[in-house]
Amino acid sequence: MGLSEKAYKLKAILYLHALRTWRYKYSFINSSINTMLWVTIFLLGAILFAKPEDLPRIAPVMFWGVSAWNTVSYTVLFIAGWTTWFLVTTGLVEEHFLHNTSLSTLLSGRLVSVVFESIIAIALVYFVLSSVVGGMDIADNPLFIAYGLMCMIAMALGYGLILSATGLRLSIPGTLLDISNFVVFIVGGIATPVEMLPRPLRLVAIVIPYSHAAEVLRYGAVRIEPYLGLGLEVALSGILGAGMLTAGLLYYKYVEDRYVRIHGVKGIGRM
Amino acid sequence: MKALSVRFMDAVRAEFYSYIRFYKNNRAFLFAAFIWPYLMMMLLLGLGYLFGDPRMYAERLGVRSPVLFVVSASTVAMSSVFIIDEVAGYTLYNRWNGTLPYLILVPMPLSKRLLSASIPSVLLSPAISVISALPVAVYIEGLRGFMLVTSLYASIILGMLPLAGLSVIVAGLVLTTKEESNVASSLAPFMLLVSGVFYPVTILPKILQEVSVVVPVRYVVDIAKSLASTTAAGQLYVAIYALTLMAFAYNLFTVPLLSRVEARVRMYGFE
Repeated sequence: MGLSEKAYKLKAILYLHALRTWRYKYSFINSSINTMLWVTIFLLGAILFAKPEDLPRIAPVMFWGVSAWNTVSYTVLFIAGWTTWFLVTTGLVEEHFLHNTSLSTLLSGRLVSVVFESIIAIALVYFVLSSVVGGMDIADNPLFIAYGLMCMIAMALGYGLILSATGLRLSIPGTLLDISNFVVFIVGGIATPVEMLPRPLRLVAIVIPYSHAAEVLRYGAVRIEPYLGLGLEVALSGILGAGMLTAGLLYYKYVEDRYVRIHGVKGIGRM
Repeated sequence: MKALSVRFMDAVRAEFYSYIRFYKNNRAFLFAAFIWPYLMMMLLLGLGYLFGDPRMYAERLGVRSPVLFVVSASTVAMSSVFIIDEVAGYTLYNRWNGTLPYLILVPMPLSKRLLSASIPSVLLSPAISVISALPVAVYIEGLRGFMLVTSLYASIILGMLPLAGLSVIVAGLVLTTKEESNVASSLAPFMLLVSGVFYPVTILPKILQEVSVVVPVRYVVDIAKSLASTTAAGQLYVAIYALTLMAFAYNLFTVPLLSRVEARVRMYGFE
């Protein structure tokens, strides 16, 4: 496949997802509101644990924790969950193979929906949390925030592609994928700075790639010094983001070529 | 024409069979359904422990054990989410699969058809959540924990009756929208938000407190709070009366509303 054909396909896929987001605008708006409501339910519960005088200090950390988690979990859900529930169920996998288009390219385009959804959800969460706390400062250095979020999205895209490819073989439903998201949120250094976690959990957090990008993000937001130092965390975030994305794409190609094109896909069976 | 009609109980039996087969064929999904209340509990308690003190939470809510209360509340939350998602998602799933035309052609009014699909969800999805919560409840409170969670099952069933009517209406409306997902899926978290599932309703804005009066989940949460409370359970009877009344009121609107939806679907079709 020549470069021009690749560029043509990429353009078509970006157009497809932008069009889908517009065409299914009510589903898209509903999804953003849905996220905001879930996050608010948990934040209102969690706030009852805190002393009122501590709220202005911890609110920005909570805000970026849930914003980063929302972005990561929606990237995974929009890619891996969508594959099993929508692509396979509606028979679109074979359709794309017939047009010689890799599913991984198609799925990567879902980032268009993720970005739009995240912008709306993050704005709504800010509105809710700042009205509960009474205003908060959330951005000290936007460059680090953007870098941290981009690295997290690259990691989540790689992880989502791996789960999606695995789902084509095992019919793993999207709901199961959420399990790891919950775990990662608490012990993966997304909800709180790694320094705040109990000592054994810090080791777990360091192993989970998201924690490094989250540390960079928090530095950009409220100047909390990253656990392993700013330089190392920035480098690790970039390396891990690029590494996970490459691994996701390579694994997808392997599953497509060695399994799906030979045996077909497994959907979620009822009978 | 009479010879062609399908008996309601036959449809219910078929739906039970379908429901059980679904979980039997998708064990990973069943596993996920069992551990979801724990994931919700872990998320809230994780945030709470990291940002504050559980004793403060227990004191503010007037409950003896915050862990037991959060488990009960998560069970209520998951049951509510399951029923709305399963019943409303029923039409959507069949549309994706291409089986919806066959369901519409079944010689039976749409209201009865959808109502029969909601019965297994009403009875079995809370059972899954309650069974999953039992080990923690028994571990923390022994026999009292067992009694608490089993009484909760009865109250959830009572709470699910009005929700079933509401979910059937949403399922019917999903047929008339030309969207890719359930555009009313934010209804479940909205109901949980105004019901004060993890916090007292009094911390919500006045308007949301007033909305919560007509939301069935609020009364199931009230029952859960009464059962886990350190003080006398005065609001228990009020909640039971309110739920009984709502079960009649919400289901009263189901048939006329769905008759209109059915007429529209037969006239214009669906995508």
